[in-house]
Parts: sequence; structure tokens; C-alpha cells
Amino acid sequence: MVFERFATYVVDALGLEGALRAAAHFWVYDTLKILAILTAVIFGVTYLRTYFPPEKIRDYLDGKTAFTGYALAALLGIVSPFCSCSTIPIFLGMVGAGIPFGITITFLAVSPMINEAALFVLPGVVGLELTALYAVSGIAIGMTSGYSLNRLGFDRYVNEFEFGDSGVDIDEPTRRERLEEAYVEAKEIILEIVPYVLVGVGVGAFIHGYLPEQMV
Amino acid sequence: MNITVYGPDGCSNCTALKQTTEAVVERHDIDADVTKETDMTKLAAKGVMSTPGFEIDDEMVFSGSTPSEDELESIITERL
Repeated sequence: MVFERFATYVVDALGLEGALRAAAHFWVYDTLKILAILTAVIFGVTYLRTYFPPEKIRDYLDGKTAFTGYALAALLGIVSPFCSCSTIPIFLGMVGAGIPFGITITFLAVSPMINEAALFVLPGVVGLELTALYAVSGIAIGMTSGYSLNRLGFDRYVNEFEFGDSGVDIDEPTRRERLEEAYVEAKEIILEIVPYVLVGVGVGAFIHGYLPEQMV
Repeated sequence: MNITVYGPDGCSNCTALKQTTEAVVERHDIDADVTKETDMTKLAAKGVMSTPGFEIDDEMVFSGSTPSEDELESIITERL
């Protein structure tokens, strides 16, 4: 692989030997690999996300009741992360549109809890089993909280609210606009996490190079 | 004109949008009041579900995205 060869080239060029060589190789190779995977996944996911604006989610959930509604809300929650600053307008928009209270809560609970980009990255890092556990428990927690808050009658705390009509046309964006949005957002996210990847993989590289295997 | 950016305090895109708007207004010497509304129920009352919301003279122009400075400039100047 090209990253592997590049990492070997770097440690060769620096003339590194022994544990330092192993650590440096690990650091360069894994940083590049993880950033490449993250870039591809985040770009893909942000592109897909442009197909699921909150207004559309609301329309999908409209008229659904009982188990289908909760399950659908949880699944839509996974594919549509939103900025936490939109929680209140989304909640009001859904309740205002007559989506049952419990289903709305399920959507709001699952959305920030399960990140679909993580679902792609985690299997390679922690294995399929833990990733599945993460997804299933997130969905279960979301569905249970929606269902139980509904059964406990918490909807009585929701004030009457008239959700307005914005007049903003939410026209289908063109493919170009979707790609542009995905590009801008992926760039922003990647730049934000680069330092963490560098430090995190650096810690891994140190362990890889210097800690005896029996200790790990 | 009156420009209102809807977005709560913790939303960095919303704060950035207000700053960009102010920069555009200042550069073109536009007579505009740029304010930020942090009460999200007001945004919902306008029928918008995603932040930031961008309103010029009671017309919600866009929401849920942050246009580039150039785009924002044409959005504002074409409404003069």
C-alpha cells in the first residue's frame, strides 16, 4: 500500500533503527491511513446527509405510530445527525406537525448518540461485535426513552406551540450543491480532528514501539 | 434593512455567520441593523427547523447552511 511504502521511506530517510523506527513507522502509516478513511467516510456521509434534512424526516415520521414509528425514528436518527443547536426547532417542528411525542424523543435521543461515520470506522478499530453493541444499545436506549417518557406522560410539559410557515423553499439541492456541501463540511471536520488523530496515534505508536508486548 | 441571524449561543456557525454579515454590511456601507436572535422558539415560530436561520426584513432567506462570504454578499446586495 502506498501509505506503508511512504512510512518505510520516511523511517529509512531518517535512518531510524529499533524501537524508534517501529514507533515512527506506526505513527506515519496509521495517521495517514486513519485520515484517509475518515476523509472518505465523512465526505460520503455528509453527502448522504443532504438527502435527509429535518423537514423531510418530519414528513417520513408523520402518521407513523407504535413500533414502526419508534424504529423508523431511531433509524432516521442515525442517518441524520444535526447540530445540537437545532434540537429545539426540530423538536418544535415535529411536535407542531403532530408527530407523536415519544417518537420525536426517540429521534432526538438517537441522533447525537449514534454517529454513522463511527459505524464505518469502528469495525476496523474495535471489531464488528463492539460496533454492533454500540449501534444496538444506542437504538435501544433511544427507543426506550421515547417510549417511557411517553408512557410517563411527559408530553403534558410541552406547551401549545404554533409552528410557523417559513416560506423558505427547501428545493432539492442539485448534485453539485450536495457535493459542495459535503466538501466544505468534510474539510471543516477533518481539519478539526487532525490534531487529535496525530496525538492519539502518537500514543499508540509509543506503545507499539516501546512497551513490551506482555504489558499490553 | 434589518438582518436577523437566528442561532443559539453555542452554535459557532451562527456566530460566524453574523460576523461575516457584519463584515459585508460594513464593506458595502449598507444601512442595515444586524442582530442575532438566540431564542430558538422564535426560529421555530418562523417554521424553520435548522440553524442558522437568516432573515432580511422579515423574509427568511435561507436556513441550515452557511454560505460563503461571496454568496452572502450577493444575497444581501441583491436585496438593496
